[in-house]
Amino acid sequence: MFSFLMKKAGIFLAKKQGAEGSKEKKEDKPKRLSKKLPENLSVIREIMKGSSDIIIREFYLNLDRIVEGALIMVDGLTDDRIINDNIIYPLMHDARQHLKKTGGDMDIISHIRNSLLSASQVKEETDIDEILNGFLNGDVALLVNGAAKALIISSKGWEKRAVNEPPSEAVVRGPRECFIENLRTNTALIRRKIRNPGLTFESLTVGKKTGTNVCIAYIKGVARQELIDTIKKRLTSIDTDAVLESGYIEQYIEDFPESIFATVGFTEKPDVAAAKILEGRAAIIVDGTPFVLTVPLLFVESFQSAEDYYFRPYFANMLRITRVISYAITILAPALYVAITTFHQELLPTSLLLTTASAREGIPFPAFLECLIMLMTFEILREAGVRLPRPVGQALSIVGALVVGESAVSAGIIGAPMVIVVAITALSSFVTPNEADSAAVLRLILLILGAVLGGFGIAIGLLGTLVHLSSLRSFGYPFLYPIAPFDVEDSKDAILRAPLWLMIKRPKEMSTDIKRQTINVPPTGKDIKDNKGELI
Amino acid sequence: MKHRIYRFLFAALILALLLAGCYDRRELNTLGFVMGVAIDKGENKDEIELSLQMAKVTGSDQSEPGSGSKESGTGGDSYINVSASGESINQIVRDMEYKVSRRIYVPHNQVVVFGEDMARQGIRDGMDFFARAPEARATVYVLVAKGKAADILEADTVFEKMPSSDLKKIIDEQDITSTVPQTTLYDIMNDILSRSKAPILPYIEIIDDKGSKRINCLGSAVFKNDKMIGHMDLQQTRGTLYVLDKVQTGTMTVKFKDAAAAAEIRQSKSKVKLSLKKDGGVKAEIQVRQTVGIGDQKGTLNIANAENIPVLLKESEKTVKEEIMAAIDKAKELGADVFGFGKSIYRKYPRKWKEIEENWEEVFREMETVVKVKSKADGSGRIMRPIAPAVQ
Repeated sequence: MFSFLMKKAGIFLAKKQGAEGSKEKKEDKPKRLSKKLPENLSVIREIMKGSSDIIIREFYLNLDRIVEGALIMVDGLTDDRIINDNIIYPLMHDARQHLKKTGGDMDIISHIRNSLLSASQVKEETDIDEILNGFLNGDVALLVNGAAKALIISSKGWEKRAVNEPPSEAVVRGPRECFIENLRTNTALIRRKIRNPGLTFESLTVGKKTGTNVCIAYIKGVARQELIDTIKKRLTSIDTDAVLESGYIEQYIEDFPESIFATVGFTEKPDVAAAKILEGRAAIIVDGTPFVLTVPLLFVESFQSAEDYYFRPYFANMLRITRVISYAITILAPALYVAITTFHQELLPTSLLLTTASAREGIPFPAFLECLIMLMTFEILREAGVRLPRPVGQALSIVGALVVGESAVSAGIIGAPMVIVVAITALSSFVTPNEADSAAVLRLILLILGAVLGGFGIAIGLLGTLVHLSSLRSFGYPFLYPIAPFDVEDSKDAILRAPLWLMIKRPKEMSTDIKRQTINVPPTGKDIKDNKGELI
Repeated sequence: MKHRIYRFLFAALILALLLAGCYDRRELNTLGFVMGVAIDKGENKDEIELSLQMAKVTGSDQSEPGSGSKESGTGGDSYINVSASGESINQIVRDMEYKVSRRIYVPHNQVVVFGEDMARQGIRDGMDFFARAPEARATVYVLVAKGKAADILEADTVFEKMPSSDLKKIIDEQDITSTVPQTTLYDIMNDILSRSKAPILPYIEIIDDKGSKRINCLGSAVFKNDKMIGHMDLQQTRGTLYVLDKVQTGTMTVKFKDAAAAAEIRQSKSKVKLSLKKDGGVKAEIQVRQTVGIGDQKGTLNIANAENIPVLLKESEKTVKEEIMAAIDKAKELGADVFGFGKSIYRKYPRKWKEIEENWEEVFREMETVVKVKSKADGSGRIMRPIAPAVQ
C-alpha cells in the first residue's frame, strides 16, 4: 500500500517537473581557446567575474623573444610550493637557456610540457570548460600567448582531515583507519589493501553544478561486467545539479526508492570496502564524504561486521546470532508487549501477569499510547544526543536517564515494564546500525498493527514485510539471497559464517572468478614432526 | 481502469481489517484476575453459591511480600473474595459485575474447589461453565473441600500472596508424595465421558494450626459419574495412583527388628494385564516395578548391606501391595472403578465389554485382582552405613 502511495506521489511529481525540464535542454557547443592570450583571459575573467579566490598570474616567459603567459589557479586549493618551485621558477628562469639550445620555431606548449615543467601530472586542453574544470579542481592552468592550447598542471594541495578512527563503525579488533572527505586519499586507502593490477577506479563527474567526482572501484575479472555497466548507466543518468554526499547518489541509483529498506550499502572503513570489492561487489566513492557506497547489498550484510572475519568463528557466529535476535527485538518488542498486555493476557505466566498488572495500575494512558510516548522520548533523546555539543552530552544523559527512567515511573505516568521494553528496543537498535532506519519505521508499523489487531496484526505485518523483502532487488540481485532464493553453498556466510578455510568460493552470481582458494584443509599443525621424524 | 478497481478493493480490505480491530482490546488495569473459584451448594434448592478470589493488584509502590494475609493492615489485602448465588455460574459471574469494578477474567484461574455438599450432589452444573468458556483453562486443578469450599479461599497464606495460589502450589508439589491426585478439569471431563472410569479429586480440609487456618490434604474424593460417593485416605490414594501408573516418587516406612527405614520410591512403573476367566469373570493382574532407595533410617543396624537389602525390598513390596489392595478393596466397596479397568476392557475386549457394560459395577466388584510388586535397590544416599563406629 505504501509503495503504491509513494509511486503515485512520484509519478505526480515527475509529471510536474518533466514539463519544465524539457525546455532547458539545449547544450551550446564547447568553447575553444583562441590563439590570443588577452582574449582567452578576458573570457575566463568574464566567467569567473566577482570571485575573489581566483588568481590569474601573468608573466613573461624568457624565451629568445618575450612571450606572455598566464597561470590561473584557485587560492586555497593549490600547493604554493609546487607552483613556485616547479612551475613559475622553470618558466621564468630556466626557459631562456633551453630555448637557446633548441632555437627557432617550435611548438611552445609541448616544449614547456616536455622540457620545462617538473610537475608529475600535466595534460593539454583546448576546451575552455575543461580548463575551468581543471583549475576548479585544484590544478593550475597555464595559458601561453600564441597557442590555442592550455596546460593543466597538477598542484592540488588543500586542507584535509587526517585519516583517523571511524566514528560510526568502531571495532575492537581490526584496522582503525577510516575514509576521509578526500577522494584520492580514499582510493589510496583501498589500493593499499588490494595490491592487484585488476583493481580499477573509474571516474565520473556527477552533479551539473557541483561537478562532484565519483569513482567506481572494482576488480576486473572478479566483478561482473554487467554490474559495472549498470552502475555506470545509473550514475550517468543522474540529472541533478548537486551531489554533496554519497546519500544523494544512493537515492538516485537504488532499485526500490519507495521501500523502507535500503538496497545500497555504505561503510566508512577501507577494510570493509576492500572485502566487498574482493567478493565481486563494486564500491562507489564520492568526493567530499567518508561514506563509501557498496553495491549490490544483501539483507544478511546488515547483520555482518568486519570483526566477524577477524575473530575466530565460534565467537563471531555467536555475535551474528545476537545481532539477528537484537533486530527481532528492536522491531518486535514494543508491538509484542502492547499486543500481549491488551489482547492476550492469558499468554503471560500468572506471576508475571500480576507483576505487570501491578506496574500498570494507575497508569493514565492505554498501553499503546504509553509505548508511543516512550518511543518518542527515546527518539528525542537520541536526536538531541547527536546534535548537542559534546560537553553538554553528559548533562543530557543524566537528564534523560532521570526523566525517562526514574521520574516517569515513580510519578506513575509510565509503567516500569514499558521502560524496560523501550530500553531494550533502543539498545537493540544500535546493534544493527545499517538497518536502524528501517527498523524504526517497521517498529512503528508493527506497533500500530499490534495495538489494533493484537498478535494477528503482528503476524500480518511480519508476513507483509517478508513478502516485501523477498520482492526487493539490489542491482538485480535478490535482496534476501542466500536465504530466499535459498543457496546452500552461499549460506556459508549468511547468518552463520563458516571458518575462513572453508570459504573456498566467492558468492556465486556475484563474481566471474569464483575460486577464492583451492585447498580446503585447515592449516593446522599437520606439519609438525615428533622426535622420530614422523608427522604428529 | 481495472487496476483502479483492484487497488480500491485492496485498500478497502486493509481498512476493513483496521475496522475489525480493537474489539476485544482490554487494558491490564481494567481486568479482575480470578485466581481461585469455590463452588458450594446455595441456601435455596437448585441454587449455587459461587465465590471468586480475585487478585487485588496494588500499583507500583507495592507492599512488602508476605503481607498478603487478610488481616494485615498497612498494604491492604492482595486479594478479595466475592461471592454470590444463583442458578447458573455464567449468570452469577455476570451478576458479580454489580459488585466488582473490573471485568472478571478467568484464564489465570488456578483452582476450582467444590464444597463436599455440592460434590455429593453433583459437580456437572458447576463444571459446565469452566469447560465451556473458551477463556477458562481446562488445565485448572479441581478439588473437593471437606465442609464449605468458600472457607478454603479464606485460609491464611503461607508463601504465596493468595490462598488459591498456595493451594495450587500444594497440589503441584504432590508428585513428591504421590498420595494426592493432581486432577485437572480436563481429566475429569475425560473420565466422565468414558462412562466407566470414576474420577478421583484431591480431598482437602481447613485445619486450625496454632491459631492460623491452614490447608491440609486428606487424600482423594471418589466420584461416580459426577457425584462424590466417598473418599480414600492418603495410602489408598497412592494405591490407586500405583495402578494408574501415576506414582513418581514418595516414601514409606519399613520396619526391621530393632530399626526402621524410610524407603524412598525413586521410580515406579506399573502395568495392568487383563484376562478373561473361563467362568466369565475378568481378571486384572497389576504389575508394579519400582526402584527403592534408603531415605533415612533409625537405629544402628546397617540396612544397606547385602543381608538387609533384600529384606528392605521385600518389605517395601509388601507395603505397596497392601496399599494397592486397600485401594482396590475401597474401590470395590464404593463400586467405583477408579482404576479405569472398564476402559481397558473396552479397548482389549470390546465384545466382552458390550456384554458386561450394563452391570459393570457388579462385574467390577467381582473382579479378581492379582498384585505383583517387584522392587529394585537403588543406593543408600551419600553415606553407606549408619553413623556409628561399630557397624559393618
